[in-house]
Amino acid sequence: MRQKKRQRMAGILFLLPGFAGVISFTLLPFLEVIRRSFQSAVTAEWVGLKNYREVFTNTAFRIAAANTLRFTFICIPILIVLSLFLAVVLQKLRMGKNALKSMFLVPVAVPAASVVLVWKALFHSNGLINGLLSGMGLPAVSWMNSDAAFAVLVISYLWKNIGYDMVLWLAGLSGIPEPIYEAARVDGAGEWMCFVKITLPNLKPTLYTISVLSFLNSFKVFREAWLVGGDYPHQSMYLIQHLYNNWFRELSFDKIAAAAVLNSAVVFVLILLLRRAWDSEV
Amino acid sequence: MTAGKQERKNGGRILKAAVFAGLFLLAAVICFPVVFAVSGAFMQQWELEQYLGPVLGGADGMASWSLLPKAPTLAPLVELLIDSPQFFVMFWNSLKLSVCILIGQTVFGVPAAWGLARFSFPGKKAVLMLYIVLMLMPFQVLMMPEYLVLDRMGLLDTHAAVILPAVFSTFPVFIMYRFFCGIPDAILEAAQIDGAGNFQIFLHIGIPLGAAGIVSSGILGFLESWNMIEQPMTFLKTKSLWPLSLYLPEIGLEEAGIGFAAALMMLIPALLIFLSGQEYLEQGIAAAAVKE
Amino acid sequence: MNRKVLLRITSLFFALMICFTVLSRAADQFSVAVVTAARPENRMITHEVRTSGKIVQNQELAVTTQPDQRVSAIYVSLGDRVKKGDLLFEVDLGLLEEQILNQQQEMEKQQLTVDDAKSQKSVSAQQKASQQAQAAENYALSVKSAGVRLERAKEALAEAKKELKKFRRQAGVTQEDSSVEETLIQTCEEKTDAYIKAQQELTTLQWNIENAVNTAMQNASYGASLSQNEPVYTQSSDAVLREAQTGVPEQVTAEETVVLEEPLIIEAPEETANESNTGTSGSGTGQPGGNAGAETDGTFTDDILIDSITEETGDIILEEPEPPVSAEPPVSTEPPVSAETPPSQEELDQIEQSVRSSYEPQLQAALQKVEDARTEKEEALQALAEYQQEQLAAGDTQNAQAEAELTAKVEAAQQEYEDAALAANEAAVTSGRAVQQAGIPDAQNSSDRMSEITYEQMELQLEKLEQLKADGGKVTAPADGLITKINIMTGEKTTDTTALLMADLSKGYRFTAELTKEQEQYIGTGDLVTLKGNGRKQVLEEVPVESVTADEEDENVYHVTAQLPEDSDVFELGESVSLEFGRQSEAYPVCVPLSAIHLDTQNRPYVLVAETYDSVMGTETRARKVSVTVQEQNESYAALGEGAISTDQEVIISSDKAVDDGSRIRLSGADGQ
Repeated sequence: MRQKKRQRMAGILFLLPGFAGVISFTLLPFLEVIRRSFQSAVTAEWVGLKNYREVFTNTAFRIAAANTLRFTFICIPILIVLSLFLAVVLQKLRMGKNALKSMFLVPVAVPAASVVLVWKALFHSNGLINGLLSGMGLPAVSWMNSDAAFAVLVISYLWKNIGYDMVLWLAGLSGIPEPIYEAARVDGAGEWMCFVKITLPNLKPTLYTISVLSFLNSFKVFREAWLVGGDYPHQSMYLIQHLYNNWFRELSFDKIAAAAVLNSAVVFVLILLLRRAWDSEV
Repeated sequence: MTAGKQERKNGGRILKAAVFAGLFLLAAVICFPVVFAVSGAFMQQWELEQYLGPVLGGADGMASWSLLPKAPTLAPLVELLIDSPQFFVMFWNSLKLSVCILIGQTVFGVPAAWGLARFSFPGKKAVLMLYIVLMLMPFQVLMMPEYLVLDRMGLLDTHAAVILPAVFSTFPVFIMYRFFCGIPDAILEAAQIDGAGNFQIFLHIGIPLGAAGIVSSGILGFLESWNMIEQPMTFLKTKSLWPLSLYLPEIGLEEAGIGFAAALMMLIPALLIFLSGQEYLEQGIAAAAVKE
Repeated sequence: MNRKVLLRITSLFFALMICFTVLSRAADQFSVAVVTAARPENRMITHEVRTSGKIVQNQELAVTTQPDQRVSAIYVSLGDRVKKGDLLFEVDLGLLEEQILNQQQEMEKQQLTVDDAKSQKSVSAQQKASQQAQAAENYALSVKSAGVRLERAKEALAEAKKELKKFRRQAGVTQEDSSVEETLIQTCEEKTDAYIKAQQELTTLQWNIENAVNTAMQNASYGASLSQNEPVYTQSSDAVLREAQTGVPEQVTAEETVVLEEPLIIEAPEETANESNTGTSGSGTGQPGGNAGAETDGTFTDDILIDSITEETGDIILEEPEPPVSAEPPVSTEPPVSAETPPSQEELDQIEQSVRSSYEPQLQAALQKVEDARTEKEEALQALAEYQQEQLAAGDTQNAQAEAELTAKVEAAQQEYEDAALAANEAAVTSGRAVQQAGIPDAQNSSDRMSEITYEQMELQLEKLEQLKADGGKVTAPADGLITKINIMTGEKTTDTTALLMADLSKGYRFTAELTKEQEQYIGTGDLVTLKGNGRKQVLEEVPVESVTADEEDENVYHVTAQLPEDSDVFELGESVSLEFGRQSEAYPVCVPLSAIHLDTQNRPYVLVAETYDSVMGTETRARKVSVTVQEQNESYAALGEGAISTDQEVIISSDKAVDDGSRIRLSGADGQ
């Protein structure tokens, strides 16, 4: 029992330095933010839910939140399916597997800032992509100034994360014991049956992690969006991060505080839901 | 039957070749922006203007590109490396931030991950949950709390304002936690029986066995901090403290020559680190995926 | 293995980056200009005027001596101070005495020349007088003979008239008629008389005018160029001449009056007779026309005669002033005693003009009078003619033949008489001209006076030489002074220029220097300047500037002088001294060193201010161009108009490289970072 207590203490000691930092740099200030979300920005008066009401009635917030949610719910499934497909196909390959994997992973390493010029050249209304489209006889798309701007977000996001997710899937796939497949094949199961019946169920825990990480990375698409579109891009790619940035510049701390609380609540709920789903499956 | 098998085998081979070709094409498309940026760094301004004229607004038609410069030149690179001392200020700023963050994350994150992975104590689950939630928070949500505390500590507009919050980022802890979890209990128990203390076990068994995870999180951390835009943009007002990642977006297409050269200089360390640690990186990424 | 290579490459990359960092920094430092900067000051702009000049004497004395003297000894040298009366140099006495002797002999010769000239002159004066007398005699003679001829013609005319009268009396004329006609004729005669008188007056006036002009011109010419006695002579001869001249036309006109009266008187009875004799109208209409024509002819002849005389006399008058003028050149060849030059032709014209204009009103009045008289006379004639015409219409044609003959005879006699009158007039004019020519003075001859003058000059020269001899050939200083120049040499002969130049020390010193045009703006008469001796520490303060004048040749050079106080002995004569003067302006709040002011391509002034910017290189300093207005400047500072720059801005004063707007710079003293 004493031994156990000592172990417990050791664990806490190991955790403590890092956790202290987390508490002081994130947790406590976040509590402060929660407090502030009920106060006015300048006079620190208690205003109750006024800030929240303001945020909710704010058009920009609505647009940004809607865009962000839309983006999340469209991109993550696409990314997950696409990267799973790539992972499965790649796993079957015997030749060039590593080379292809490296190539798919390169965007992970490429700093967004270093390809901003490329992005601009690609998505300009006279840019390379429109050049390609018109070469194929298709109408040019105004990428930055129409709803197509959302597609720019999606493409950027997929480009950046597909290799990452693929590697995650490959790890998950490699975790499935080969004997199961062999047994199924002996039973006369086809490739598709094997995939549906063996691969998918076994990848469910990985799916959770991939979802979480994809979700994490979905917020980082803001970089590309900001680099290509600036502070006030087309409405269809105006994300909640843009809004925070702009509010921050305007020093609307009350709104930021309320929105941050709301935002973290949403994230928290999503995590809980995912975890619940994951836990119930396992 | 043999013939059919053969046929199917042939068909499979063709299919495989087609799939391979398709994958390779996709990989090429994905790598295209990188090659684009690299080739651009070796072009002269006139060539860039010729290709990107329509984008710059000076010419009709559509932009085009050639992956092989017609007249390869080192001029933009020389201009950047010899004539622009300000570039190096930012380059070393970027490196300083990245290295400091990396060291901090290792110093604080490894023990925390070890503690979370190898010990059980009350609230551990809650802490873990907190870590995951914080990890998933976009920077903009944490921006204001961080701003408040940095303001109170008087660290705004210093490199520490960027470094400290990043040091206590929970993502590396999460990655390393996964790795440490993967160390078989038997090894640790054997060490315990040999009378090794908790710290000794951490130092002599935990770190070597979890090295892949540490390196992998380090690489991810480096790439992340090398790529950092929002944090320095928010916390650094003095231009001389800016990292390279803030400078590049300021270069318009009008200065594409030097822009591409600067982008190349930013790309090279990231790619080198990535290629050197790709193995670990994959392990680290995979580690995240493997269930406890 | 592969990873090791990659890691090696990575470290190589960072090593390279370090190298490039150092390299680019070095290159940057090399290209960044190091500047010095300062804040604008509140200060006064002092215009320093500095120039160096010399101390010079106020007055210079020239010591001269007789020319052509051999200098036997010089007792002073350049720069010597001498007292009044100090011996300066000596001339050779032997040579001096010789020269005195020479001079005396020369004078004797000259005296003889003077005597010769005098006797010559008296001889020529006698000749002249006899010539004049001759001319006068000739004149009287010719006038007299012309008078005789005229008398004869007059008698012939009277004869013819008498015959006509007699004839007419025989033809018988009613008393009433003749009495009316007589009255008319009387009126006519009176009018004609008046007319002739007026004409005479006019002529006299014209003579007077010409005379006046002549006199004035002569006065001008002679007064300017002749010695006193000459004009007197000319004047008197002129008067004589004038008398002669005026006498001639008067005589002529007087006779003319007589002559002219006659034909009219004769003519009138003739016409009366004509009228009474010829009463018929048929042929009478033709005759009166012819008669009237003859009558008018007669009148015309009168006019012409008078005119021609007037013209002739006018000619004489016009010619008359010329002889003295043309006679002038010989006059002016005489050595002029007075320095005045003879008046030019223009001046003469002017004089003539003024005299004429002064007579103009009188002339006009006279002309008017003549004109009036003529009109009246013509009216009277007209009346007479009308009356005669009436008479003629009543007369018979019988006697016409005889009367015509008589009338023709009278006309012929009249013609002759007129010819005689003309001839008499001509004779008078011609001989008058001869008298006049005789009166023209001979070419000026004043050689006697010249010789006299030469003699007097020689006398003066001799006196000077004798004075020098009396001094023993010694030349002494006329006042206290300093020898500044010596033109003579021992053993050489003196010239007629200055032998020695002396600074007159008793009159004090003054400072003189050159100024540039720019300096000239800041110094003026009355400014108190400081004078400093070069090298030594002599200082003279608050010396007022006496004058600042522009150089005559170079407009960029001015001369400044300052009078030194009389009792001052700070500076020596000829010493090199520098002038210092500072003119202070009002205080300007924004003043920068002159080196901070630059001019752009449009020649507008600007300054570069150092401004710090926040950049990726740290707080870096850049130059920013600010256009300014320069209110005032001297050789080191410029006052700027307010508003362009403030006093807390750093203005770049100097730099080691060219700095432009936006150039990165490093302030010296600061470490650049």
